[in-house]
Amino acid sequence: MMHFLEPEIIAAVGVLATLVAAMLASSRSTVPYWFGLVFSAAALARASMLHLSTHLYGGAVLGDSYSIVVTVFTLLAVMAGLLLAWDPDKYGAEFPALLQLAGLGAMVMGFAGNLILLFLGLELLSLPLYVLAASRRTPLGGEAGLKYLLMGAFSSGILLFGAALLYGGTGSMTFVNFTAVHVVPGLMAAGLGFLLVGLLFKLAIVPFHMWVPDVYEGSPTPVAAFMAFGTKVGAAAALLRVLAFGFSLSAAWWGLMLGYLAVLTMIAGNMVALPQRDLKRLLAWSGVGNAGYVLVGIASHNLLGAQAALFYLLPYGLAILLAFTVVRVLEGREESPVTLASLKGLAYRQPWLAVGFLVAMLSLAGIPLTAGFIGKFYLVRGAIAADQWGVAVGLVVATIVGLAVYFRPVQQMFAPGDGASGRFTVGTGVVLAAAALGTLFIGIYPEPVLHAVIQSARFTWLH
Amino acid sequence: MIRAVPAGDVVALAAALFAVGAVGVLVRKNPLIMFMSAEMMWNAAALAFIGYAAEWHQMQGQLMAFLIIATAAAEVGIGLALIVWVYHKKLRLDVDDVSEMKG
Amino acid sequence: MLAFGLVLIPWIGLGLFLLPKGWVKAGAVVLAGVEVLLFARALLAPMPSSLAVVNWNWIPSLGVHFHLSLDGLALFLVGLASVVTLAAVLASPNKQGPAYYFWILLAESTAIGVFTALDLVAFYVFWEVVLVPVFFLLGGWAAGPARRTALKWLIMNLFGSLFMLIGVVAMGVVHAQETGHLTFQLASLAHTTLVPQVAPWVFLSFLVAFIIKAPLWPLHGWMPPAYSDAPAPVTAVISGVLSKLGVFAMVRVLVPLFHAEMAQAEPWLMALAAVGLVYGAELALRQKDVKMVAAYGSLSHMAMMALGIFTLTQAGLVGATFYMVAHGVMLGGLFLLLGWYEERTGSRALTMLGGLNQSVPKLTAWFQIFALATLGLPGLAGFAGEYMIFQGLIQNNITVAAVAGVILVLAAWYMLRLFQGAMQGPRATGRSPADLTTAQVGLIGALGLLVVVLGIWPAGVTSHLPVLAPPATHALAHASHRKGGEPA
Repeated sequence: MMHFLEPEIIAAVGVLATLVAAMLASSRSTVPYWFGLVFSAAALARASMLHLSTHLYGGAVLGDSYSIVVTVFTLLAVMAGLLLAWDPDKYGAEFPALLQLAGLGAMVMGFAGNLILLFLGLELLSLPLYVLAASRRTPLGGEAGLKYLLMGAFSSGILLFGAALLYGGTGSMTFVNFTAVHVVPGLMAAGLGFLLVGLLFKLAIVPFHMWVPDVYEGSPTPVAAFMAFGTKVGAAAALLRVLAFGFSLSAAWWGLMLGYLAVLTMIAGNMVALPQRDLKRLLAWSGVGNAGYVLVGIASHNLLGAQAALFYLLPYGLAILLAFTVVRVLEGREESPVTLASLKGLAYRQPWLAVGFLVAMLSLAGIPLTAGFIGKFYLVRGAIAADQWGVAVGLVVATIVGLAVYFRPVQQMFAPGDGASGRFTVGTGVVLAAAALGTLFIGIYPEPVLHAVIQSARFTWLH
Repeated sequence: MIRAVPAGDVVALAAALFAVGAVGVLVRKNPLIMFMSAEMMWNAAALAFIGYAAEWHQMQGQLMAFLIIATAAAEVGIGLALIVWVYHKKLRLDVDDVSEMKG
Repeated sequence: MLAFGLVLIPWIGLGLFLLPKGWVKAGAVVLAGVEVLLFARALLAPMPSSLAVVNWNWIPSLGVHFHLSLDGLALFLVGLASVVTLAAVLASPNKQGPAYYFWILLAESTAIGVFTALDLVAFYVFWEVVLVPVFFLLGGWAAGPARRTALKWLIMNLFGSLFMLIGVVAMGVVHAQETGHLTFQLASLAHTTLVPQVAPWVFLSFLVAFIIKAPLWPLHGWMPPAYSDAPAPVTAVISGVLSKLGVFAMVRVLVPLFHAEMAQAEPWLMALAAVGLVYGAELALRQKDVKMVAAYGSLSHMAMMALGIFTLTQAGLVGATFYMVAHGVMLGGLFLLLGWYEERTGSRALTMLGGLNQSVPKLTAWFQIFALATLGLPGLAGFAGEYMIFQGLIQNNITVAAVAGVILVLAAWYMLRLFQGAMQGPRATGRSPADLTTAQVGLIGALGLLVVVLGIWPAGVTSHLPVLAPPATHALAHASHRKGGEPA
């Protein structure tokens, strides 16, 4: 019965093997990176072959196509992070193992069916990221690590207390057992509230987002890229699962609340992204805004919304990976900050890099024929089917603000002037090509991905 | 079995500890104290878990408390190392001083 | 397949980036020419034929079909797009790089997509993608504050179309809730009735998007800088082809889906269009820049088309559709001529120039033909469209018809003022610029021929048009009462 966990087991063995490789190999060897990449690829291949729906330990571990999709998304983020960081001199031999460990945490959050695993997954995701965030040996890096650590510990504390209250209200740790007890008693409502706040911190929803820009700016770019994609996948997956399994009966209550937060997050995130000059900060704020889009799907509290939220993670993830890849190439080995001004004339200096960036921005802005459009279309459909017209309008308003955010860098790229230029490595080239082609493919022919996502979200409202 | 302390009292204490911890994180500027306050929130949650475990006659809550303690230990290991490292760089402990980034 | 071919072939323009520098324009001309040939093939095929239709199950999970059809309504607008694009490519300077031609071709492809789409989502996809090539054309090649102009175009248009996205999705969702079948096919959605609380808003979301794209007063803010600063061939494409998207969409989407709402809002819509008519003509009279005269004149003409559509009568709708085609050819030609004029004189100011009829007789002659056609001289293309629109207006609302009549006089006035100021009178400058080259005469002559043909044989277009008027609105009942139900 364990075979449905095989991708995770492969990934876990991969972490250990990579650690051993990092100990044995010289500190400048790429062997640990290769280990990490190969094991992640193997786990990805195994995950994409699985089709089943089962659970272990009384619903503590849920093996269904939902957890498989989460695993696949996370592994994509891990592999992209590894490829972007393919420089042992700079990032050190422990980098791959830590990144894989964080990825494993997100996967655990994907299959967690009770509070214990949810907490363990969250911490497994967070602890390595504290180290990784601080791994730039500059004051900026220290600040990023410290802020992330304090905010992480704080939010985990809130989440834990919420979990304790839920446990107190029901006498059970398993999500599905929460449905039996009404939320209306104060204890359960408070428990759910605290739990949500803890998860919303990780997802970076306004007003629990203040740590994001500083952490993204201070972290090494590959780490920021993983955080932007992998962390959000884990947090969103857990959020959706908790709410759908445990609190589907009180959906109208939390749906309304999350709807307000989603609108606030989308608009505020994009508004603050507008005046940013540093590209990493701009992407961080755009990540906040996009977390709001994901929340729209969750707030819709229907099957369509769940599908939309899960699907939107992929277009967003690909686009943000693409954008961070461009940052990684332009910042070079010395990690000089990349501002909007450094993009000047990029279209003439490095046309391929510019094309990749253009695709990322078009997708984030939601222009048709890129994956982002399908994602937004789906989200609007979920919101309207849930009769949440206000949320749909909020999404549109945020997207209009987002246009100005994403087309400003594009115009810089075509403006004359001397900005930065950087060298491609094999790793950045692969990520750039794969993410750009993926974005366009999903935008033009989304059916295969949609099919997989729809299959995997089917679990949600059965309980 | 004689229950000496009712669960409600334990949870009330836990809630008080949690509140103190949360206020500590929000009000204090010294990362060390902030971190300590956050750990206090964790411990408050662990206490609440134990209280409820006794109430429900269940082991899961206690198990959770152990896991919280173990994870907190790992977190402290990383956290203290980070704080000490930043302290070495800046020689003062004030989160506002650490702040070099704006926006 | 023809419709799909028409949409697909311009994308081959990506290959222009691989061509050696000297061959780029030739490559673009070939692609634009193939488009015209495909249109000619569609024109000759008996309609409706399966040749002209593609209907693929594009995204089954979302109920989206890739449904394009070269039906009677779309056919001549597709023709307009292909002809004006070819003219614009031919008139473009040789030095332009592959990106310029690629964006122009892409604008053509997406415009044809909008004209032929019969699935609301496919329609929406093309509707939005069309913004991207124009954004880059304006940003890269416009004079003046190009980046602001481009951003203004993009944000204004997306402002409208993103709200329309809610409308599109709402139509599909409501239809699915009613019938249990998720689809965005226009033909199916036409039978969907929205609840009264939602219907006006959904209608408004479509209407605003269409008004912005057209543009119609009062949402025309992007138009003046875009028309005046873009290079002449780009202005020709925007004003000739892309501005028709908004009014075309009213015929294609609004009339079948929202005829009840339109009939209800008719007085307001009429008033809106009438004000736009006066406003455009008024401003055109006061402009000192030749391009701006044509731009504001065009704003007034767009309002004329909108008037025809808002009558909801067969005559008005047919007239508006015909006028779209005619106006596209006329405006495309006019802006090309103004571009050559600017190239020769180095200025666009109306007051600074004059007396060009002595030094450049050919340019003057062609300019005269296009100006006369634009002001609606009988026998030329503009007249037939305006005549049919008037027919619809008189059936519907005699007051607005009277206002429109006055505007026509104004139209004659500003166009003649433009012509006189620029061409006739004493010579303002000592220079004697060169006249049109043979190639330019050939190009403008071909467009001029089209203007004449459309003017004397409008039935060539209108006989292809299907019944456009909505089946059971009071407007049609009203009209058929007077006219005996006879379509124009």
